[in-house]
Amino acid sequence: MALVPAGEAFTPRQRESIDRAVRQAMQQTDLRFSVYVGALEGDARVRAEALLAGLGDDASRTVLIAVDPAARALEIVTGALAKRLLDDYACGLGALAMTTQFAAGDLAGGIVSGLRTLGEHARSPRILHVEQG
Amino acid sequence: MRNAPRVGALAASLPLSVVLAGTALASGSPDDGPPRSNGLTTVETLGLLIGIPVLIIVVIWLLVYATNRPSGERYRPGLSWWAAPEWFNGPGSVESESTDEQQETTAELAAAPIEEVGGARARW
Repeated sequence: MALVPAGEAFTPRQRESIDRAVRQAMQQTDLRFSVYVGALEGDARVRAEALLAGLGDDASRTVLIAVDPAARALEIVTGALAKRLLDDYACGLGALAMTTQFAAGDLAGGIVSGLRTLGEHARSPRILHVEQG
Repeated sequence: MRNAPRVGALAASLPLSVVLAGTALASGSPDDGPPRSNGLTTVETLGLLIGIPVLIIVVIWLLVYATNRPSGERYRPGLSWWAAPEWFNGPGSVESESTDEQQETTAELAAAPIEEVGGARARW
């Protein structure tokens, strides 16, 4: 297997499909979805939470999917608000959908179906003041 | 692709067998006197029963392989990963498109400290 040159983890088409899945998930929910594919040095969970915190003000309503292909580790981190709309059980379902395809060598496809699963399971927040709208 | 040499050799030998079969068929011109029995020669039999099916298999295999060939390198679990870290909708991205209305809605729910995160983890 040839070395994968830097920045070429995905083909343009794969990148586009992941981007589209991110956009769709964000349209379905009020959450922000971010995907990180790369090394999670040290404790993967701690590192993933640090990445989430690095998203700044949006971190609370963000669902971060962190994939470390080399360590074969997947971390889904939900911010404080995102956690209320997307519980850990739904995250587990999403993780399952992703790792199934990762194990078959389909990194981009796994990310896309994970985003789809998470987007479908995220509960929409109660809409307040509808009558006044 | 591990099978490449084998398949290549097979593909190379196929036209030969077909040609052999063809010449054997062509040699039986009408001037050869009374026709032989209707039985096929060994070469013809091999060409018909083995050469043609194998040729069809190879053509189908090539068509499938040519159309389904994944573009670019493929991730293989267990092998190292060399690509640079990549973000989709990461920090600094302005794809976060929440309206003020949504912010207002979510603001009522969001009161928890940032440390309170959830999620899931998995390995494969």
